[in-house]
Amino acid sequence: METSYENILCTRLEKSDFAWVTKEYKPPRRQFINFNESEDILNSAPVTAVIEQLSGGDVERMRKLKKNGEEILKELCHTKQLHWVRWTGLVLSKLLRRLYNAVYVNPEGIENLRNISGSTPVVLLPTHRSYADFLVISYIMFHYNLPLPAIAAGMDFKGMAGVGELLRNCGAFFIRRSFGTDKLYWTIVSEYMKSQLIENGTLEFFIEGTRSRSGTFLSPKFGLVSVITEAFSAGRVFDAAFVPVSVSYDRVLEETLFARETEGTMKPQESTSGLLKALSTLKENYGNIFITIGNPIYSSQHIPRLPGNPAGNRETAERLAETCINALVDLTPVPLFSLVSVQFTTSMVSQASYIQLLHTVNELSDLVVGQHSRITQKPSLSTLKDCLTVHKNLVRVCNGTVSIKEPDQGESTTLNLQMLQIYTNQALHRLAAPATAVLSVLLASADEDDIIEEDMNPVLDQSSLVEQYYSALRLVLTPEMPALPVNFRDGIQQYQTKPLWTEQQRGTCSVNRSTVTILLIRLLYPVLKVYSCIVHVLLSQKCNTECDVIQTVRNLGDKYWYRHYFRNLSSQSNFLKKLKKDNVIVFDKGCRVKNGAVLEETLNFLNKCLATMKNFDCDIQSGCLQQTVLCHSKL
Amino acid sequence: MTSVFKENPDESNSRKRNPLEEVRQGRELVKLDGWGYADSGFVFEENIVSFVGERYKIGKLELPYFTAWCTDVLGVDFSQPPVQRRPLDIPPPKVEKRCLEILEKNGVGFCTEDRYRVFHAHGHGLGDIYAVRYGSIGRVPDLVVYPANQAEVELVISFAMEHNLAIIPFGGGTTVTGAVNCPDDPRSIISLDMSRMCKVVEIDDRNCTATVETGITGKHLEEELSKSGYTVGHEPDSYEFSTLGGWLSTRASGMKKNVYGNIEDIVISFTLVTPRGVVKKHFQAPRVSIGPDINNYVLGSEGSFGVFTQATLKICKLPDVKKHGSVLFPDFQSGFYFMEQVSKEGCKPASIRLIDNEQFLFGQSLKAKETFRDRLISTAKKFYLARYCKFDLKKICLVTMLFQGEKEETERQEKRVLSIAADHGGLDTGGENGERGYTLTFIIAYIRDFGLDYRIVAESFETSVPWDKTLSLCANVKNRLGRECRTRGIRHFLISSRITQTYHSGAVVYFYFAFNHTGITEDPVGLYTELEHIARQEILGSGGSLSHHHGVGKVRKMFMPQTMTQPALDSFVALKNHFDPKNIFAAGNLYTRSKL
Repeated sequence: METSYENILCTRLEKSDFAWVTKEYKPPRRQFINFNESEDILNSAPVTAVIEQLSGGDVERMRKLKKNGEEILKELCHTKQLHWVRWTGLVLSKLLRRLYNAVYVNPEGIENLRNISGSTPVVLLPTHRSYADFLVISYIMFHYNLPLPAIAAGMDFKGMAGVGELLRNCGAFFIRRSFGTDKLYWTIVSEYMKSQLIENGTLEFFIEGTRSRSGTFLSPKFGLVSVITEAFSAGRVFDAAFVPVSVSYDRVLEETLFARETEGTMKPQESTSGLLKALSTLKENYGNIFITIGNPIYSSQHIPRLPGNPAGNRETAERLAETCINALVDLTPVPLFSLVSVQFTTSMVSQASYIQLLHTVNELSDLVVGQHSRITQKPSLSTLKDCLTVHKNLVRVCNGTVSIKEPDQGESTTLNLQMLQIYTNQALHRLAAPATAVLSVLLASADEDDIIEEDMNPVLDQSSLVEQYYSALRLVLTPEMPALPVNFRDGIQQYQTKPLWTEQQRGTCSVNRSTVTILLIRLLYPVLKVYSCIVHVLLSQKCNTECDVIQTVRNLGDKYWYRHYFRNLSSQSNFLKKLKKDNVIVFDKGCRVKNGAVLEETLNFLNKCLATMKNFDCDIQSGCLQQTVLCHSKL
Repeated sequence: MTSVFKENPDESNSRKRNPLEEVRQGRELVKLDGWGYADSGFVFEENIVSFVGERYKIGKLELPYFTAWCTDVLGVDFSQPPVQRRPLDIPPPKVEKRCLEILEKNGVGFCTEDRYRVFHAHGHGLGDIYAVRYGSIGRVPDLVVYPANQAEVELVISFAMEHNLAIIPFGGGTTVTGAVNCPDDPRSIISLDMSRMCKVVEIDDRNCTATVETGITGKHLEEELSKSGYTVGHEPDSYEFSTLGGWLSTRASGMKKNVYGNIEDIVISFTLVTPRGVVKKHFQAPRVSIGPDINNYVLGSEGSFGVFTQATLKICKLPDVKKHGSVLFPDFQSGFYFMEQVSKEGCKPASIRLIDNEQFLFGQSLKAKETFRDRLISTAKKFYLARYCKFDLKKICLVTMLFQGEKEETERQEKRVLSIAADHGGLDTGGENGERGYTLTFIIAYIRDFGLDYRIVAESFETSVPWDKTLSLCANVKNRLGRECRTRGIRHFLISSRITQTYHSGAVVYFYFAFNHTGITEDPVGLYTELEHIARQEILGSGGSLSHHHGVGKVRKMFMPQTMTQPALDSFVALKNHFDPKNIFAAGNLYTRSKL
């Protein structure tokens, strides 16, 4: 699937920014009609029902709740006005030009969006890597004369004097990060979103819930998705199209902030002065932005809407949210620099020759392209050089050697490594499939050896063993790395060009020991190590809260060279979420292990994986890269 | 019941002697390949569309605005010749000679002539008329039987049981659900035409009832009763041609149900002849508590259990006053909220309908050419609406009403309704507009047939839905069909919704959907059916019912499992097996358990 892009900064070079923001804005005519009943949200049936229920019929309480509702709505709603959008667009134009070389958009996606946005209510689902995300999206919607979305944003911005109001005027509405069991709040939010979906026609929210600090995909939050599916199931709308939008940055504006946060410094409170200060220091080049708009995912095609079925059931929303996240994963191109950073984050060696780096990047890129996925730029001497220049705050090129820069004074010594890990993580979802495949083969051939040693008849042939191991691994890894192919056969097909393993006599396979396989194993090793530590901590039953568990595991990592991976807290919470979902552990009044047997089993499996990996690459513990591998790759 | 016939042996004999002649007289009046009377309909001549025939209020009329509307809205190209009709390929009747001899011996009227067999092979759905005119009709009944009384009906049924024949009861043939179409059945198929059983047997003044044979058409029934100053008041849009038997079989609903009720409220008792025997109550009481009411579980059986031969109906005195009214609303929502309030306040006019903007404009186009003076007035009206009332002419909707009853009561009701209308921003536009709306109802099917010749396929479908889901249902169906049309490259289409009835707990929505299939497909009916199914699924998903009064028949059968739970569905199968174990009444409507 080759996606073509056009640079919108370039296509409007002939026009001045001013001419651009004052251009005629004419979104496609809306063809779907709206007989929305609930223009008056506070008096809509669901809200009145909740107020009635909560008040228990008490008139005084009812009055209070109504007042409360009014405040909630006031805090929530947006006040979109086109002239505000225009002036914000002018500022944004200037900024984008200063910071970025190009903003690439796939025109095919734009055309798709244009076709549906007249006839169907649309929900834009962008990836969330930076605060800039929703500004950038509104910017391109304006540029292409597409309807401007109403955007569900986190409450963080609201505190910033002026900025909150500005964003409100551009179409953002603010939802509290946590509202516990406030039923009234949730009902009003849900009704507001439904009415916005119908009236505004285009809605936007972040399915990952928050900015991914680590660069990995976060498991989807289905709360807001369920609002939409509910509106569909209950027949409030005839359809709603979820459109995944991947916003991918060569260099994320907040990379240092994220790395610091991961290192342990707490997230600074958003403030207007902080923003202005940050903006004034932004003088470096941040490369390109790639915006890829995917194919719509129609509610009508994914949710059975049969009379007699309970409306808006939770599982359907969850499934749909997963479908959307998987679509986003497939859509997101891998930044070239991610492949560079893989080289550095998978070993202790902090430098590599330019040629060796290019070789590694090329091999990894083949794996990515083999999966019909995309790299932001084709690796070559010149693109690699450009890409290293964009990240010159992290890496230095000197005499044909590339090395990690030392962090500035006063910063944590591993800060830069941490930043590199953020980029590695952005390639993780693509490299996970071949890595998992390699590990399955490794595990299977290890079993084979055992069987031969014990001189028993092989009960299973190797291929079915590989399949078994693959699906076991997939089960563990999917929450972290969505969109892993369902079975090994699908996975294997894609890597035929450059064999990662060779077939031996009697139909068995053995993994080739090469730079790539070693890098893949090393990518996976810390992931599984983190998991095994979590299970270990859980079994010891020393921790009471989720935070406790995560913190303990994080500290456990300090003794390893790959501690930068341990600090990636989203990995921990992803895994914990999976365990909770499988009903293995419960967090209520302290952590409770509900199914110890499953945990033990998981631990055994993880340890087996780790041992097999160690067997394959004996330097994995020390973090050295074998000389032979280095020499081999030089050839 | 049979006693009635014994008292008039002469008449009964004369019917037997010359049954076909009598039937022919009636049938000659109506078209064989389309809706309605043979002398009425739309034609395109000398660059203008006209309505011919004097039977309707619209009269004999040239319609310049309608001609323009066809071109503008539906993209009709009148320069193209009409679609060529094709002669039908009718299979010869497959019936044993022995059977015919037995019928003849018993004096039962029958016929195997092709044109009558074809007439009995279809209803009046889009697919039916299209097939008769341009396509190929499928299976045709092998034999049409015209019983003259209940004894003959019983005889035909026992004869069918004995010789293993299938029977499809036939009334006016106005079904739009494929209910009279022949099933895939290896047996010979008899179409049991009830049109000779069309007598008003008895009028009971004291108890306000009339006993009537079921082959009677609505128009005939009202004519007969009005001679004695009565009315049944059941007026479905098809009432000129549809019969009492058909109403009972489909749980029909009439325009004036607010005053007279639906058919289940009107019918007190009936006679249903089934293969198991005659189903009938031994009394005639206004209401009873003796177990599940047989009226309830037999009405609407769509010819699957047997055939209705006679029924006793509630009758009312003819109303003193009949008055039309209309109110213009700035948009569909405000008209809808008005309807809801009127219904909930219980001051319901005999009929009250809300038509959307598309249909309003369509109705306006069916006017005669305006004189200069008329044009001045209508321009002034438009100006007044747009400027003074701030009505958007592209959004306005019309509510049409019919008041009837005692003079004072009617006036009081009208006053109340108009004051509610004013609260909702409505503008009283008088009786003429109202009456036009109701006339349109009766000629819409003629327009559908006219459109077929010019590559327009059109049909209506209906549903009933609770109040809170009505608006979203209308929007959903329009939006969904609109999107489906556009993605299929259909450029000229019309989707219009109308609220035709109100109940305390909800409303009835009627959709007209038409499109121009020029250059789109070779199989317009197939495409139409596909789109209609999508629309029906949208209706069900939006909280609407499978049907309010058209019935299920064969065309909506596949949706039945979505309408109720399996045990509820199975009860229908159990009843069917009870009344008709050999599946003599083999039309296969409603629901049949899939045979594995």
